[in-house]
Amino acid sequence: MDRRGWTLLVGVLAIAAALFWRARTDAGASQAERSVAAPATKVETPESPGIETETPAAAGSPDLLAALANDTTQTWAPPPPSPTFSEPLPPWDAKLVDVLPALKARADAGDQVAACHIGLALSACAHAHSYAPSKALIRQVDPNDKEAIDRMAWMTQDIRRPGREATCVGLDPSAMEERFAYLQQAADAGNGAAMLAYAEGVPLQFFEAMYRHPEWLEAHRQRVPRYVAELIRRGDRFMAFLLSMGNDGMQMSPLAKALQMDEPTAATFWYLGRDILSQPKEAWHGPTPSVERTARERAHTLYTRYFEQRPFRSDEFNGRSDMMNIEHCRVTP
Amino acid sequence: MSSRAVAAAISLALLVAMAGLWLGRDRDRPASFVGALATPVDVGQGAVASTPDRVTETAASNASSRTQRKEVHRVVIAPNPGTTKPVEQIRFWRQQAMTGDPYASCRFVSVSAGCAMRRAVYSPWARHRTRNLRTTDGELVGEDCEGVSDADVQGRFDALLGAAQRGHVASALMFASGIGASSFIPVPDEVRRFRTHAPQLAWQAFAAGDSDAVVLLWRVYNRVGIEAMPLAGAIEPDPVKAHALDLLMDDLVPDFVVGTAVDAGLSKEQAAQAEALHAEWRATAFAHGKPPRYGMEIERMFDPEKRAVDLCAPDPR
Repeated sequence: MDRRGWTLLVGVLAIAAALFWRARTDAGASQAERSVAAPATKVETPESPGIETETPAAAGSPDLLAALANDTTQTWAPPPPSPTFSEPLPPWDAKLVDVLPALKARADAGDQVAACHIGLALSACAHAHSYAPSKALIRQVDPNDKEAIDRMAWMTQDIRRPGREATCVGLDPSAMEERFAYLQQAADAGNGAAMLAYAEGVPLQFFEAMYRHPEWLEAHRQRVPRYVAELIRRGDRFMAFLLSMGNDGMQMSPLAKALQMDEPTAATFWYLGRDILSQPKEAWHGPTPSVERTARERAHTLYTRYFEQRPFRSDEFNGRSDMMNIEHCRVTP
Repeated sequence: MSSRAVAAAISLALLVAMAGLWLGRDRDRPASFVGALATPVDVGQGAVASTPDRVTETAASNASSRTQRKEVHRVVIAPNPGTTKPVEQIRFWRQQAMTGDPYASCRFVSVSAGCAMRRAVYSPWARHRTRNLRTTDGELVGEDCEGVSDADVQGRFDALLGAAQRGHVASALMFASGIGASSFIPVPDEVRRFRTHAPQLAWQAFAAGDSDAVVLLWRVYNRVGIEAMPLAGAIEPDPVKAHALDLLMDDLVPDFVVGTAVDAGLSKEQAAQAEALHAEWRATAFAHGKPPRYGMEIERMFDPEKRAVDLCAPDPR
């Protein structure tokens, strides 16, 4: 081979070596990036019984189990005693336009039962107002369409408590905007019915409310974990039952969205629900079977600490699903 | 060394170089690279607006505003919804949306709506439940969201808002309808931004003559089936507009039963205002008299059975 041939060969080899080196370097760099993104070895969180050792909750979500674990540290300031009023509160079927001024005077004077009453009654009216068919809708209904007419009639009724919608007659829609503040006032004062209804999101359970009041959503997310933990500490079985229903991980309710339970928490409340209802301990059907043992143990710890001392009454849940029932406001813990 | 040996050495060197290039082939590609789905076709300058099956991408050499811009247009063939998995469609349109094309942004939001909501409805640990929801006949419920990640559906709210603000009528209507929300129970920050922009964007679509925007506004101002309508929480009651919209609906919707000013509780002055508004709308944006595409049920816009319809394209009628 002549000199030109050698020069050509050396040049080609040099270019090839450079290209090969660059490609290998890039491949190595990207592999290093991947190594940073995903740890080479899975770090196992040690499982231990009792609710004191926690698996960290999902980032940014409240750690309900940790709040309940710190039972000895009382984070809930005992509510000041509610002022005593000799006058009984109005009955559930009283027209709000007539009784609201007096109720507000009592609530503003510190009566948490009156504040709860206002919060729930106005929430019921807001629901009725939101779901009632408007004149424009009724006009579009074919008078011969019996099914549609029946549907309209059904929409005008309070299905949980027929007749309650009549308490809202004559009430200005702007008055309903006060429901959230009064319910929160009662819940902050430790009223159990108010805490339960607030946690469930009763005052904001339709899109119109959520999109009109983003500040309500924020306040709700901030307070709900505290209210829920307090209701569990009080041994409120219905609250525990509601939490156990969140075992599917769905976030379609204000309560679920506010709590954002991680799997260990959801599994714990699933087993707590089984304990409370004295039902056979069905296995957790979540994606991580390894959480099962710890969740059972934590649930049992919660059960013995807060629920076992008082036996479950068969009528305990009666009427509880109607969270706008104002009579519940008077129930003391 | 013989010339055959030289030729063999050169071949070997080239093979080594090609191997090196092959090993580094993914270096410059983003995670969501979907170029393989598209076949770019250079159509030269002056390509027209996007169509349902094609998106026109404009790449301007705008490194410096002081230099002369040279616009290059190319039409990218979009993935066929009938034969391409949702994850691939989402990644394609997301990538296109990054170029700032409002139509592509709208398509990204539209094709990702089902999978985004399925992700938003479940906590991350429970999402396995949504993967294989099937009927008793074995048919998949909803879309096949296999492979769709949080990153794939991220940014829908901003993409749709941006497209709407750039004047894309379909995006404005979709945004005002609440499409684009990142979760079923809304996030306070998004609610605030929705409240700021949605009413104006609904009226923007209205001003462009979109009959479906009339339905949306008529429903929220007249409180017709507003349970799932975020816009109802972003507007203030206005009986004059409510009645004017009622009058306009009578022009556009067959068999519509219009109310009277007395029914609406208007004073004579308010009734006159409503009639004037109606006359103005009838003479301008709605001189065409086209009925709304979904009748009075604007929710049907996102009926899964209607997905074959391109929601982002201009009304072909």
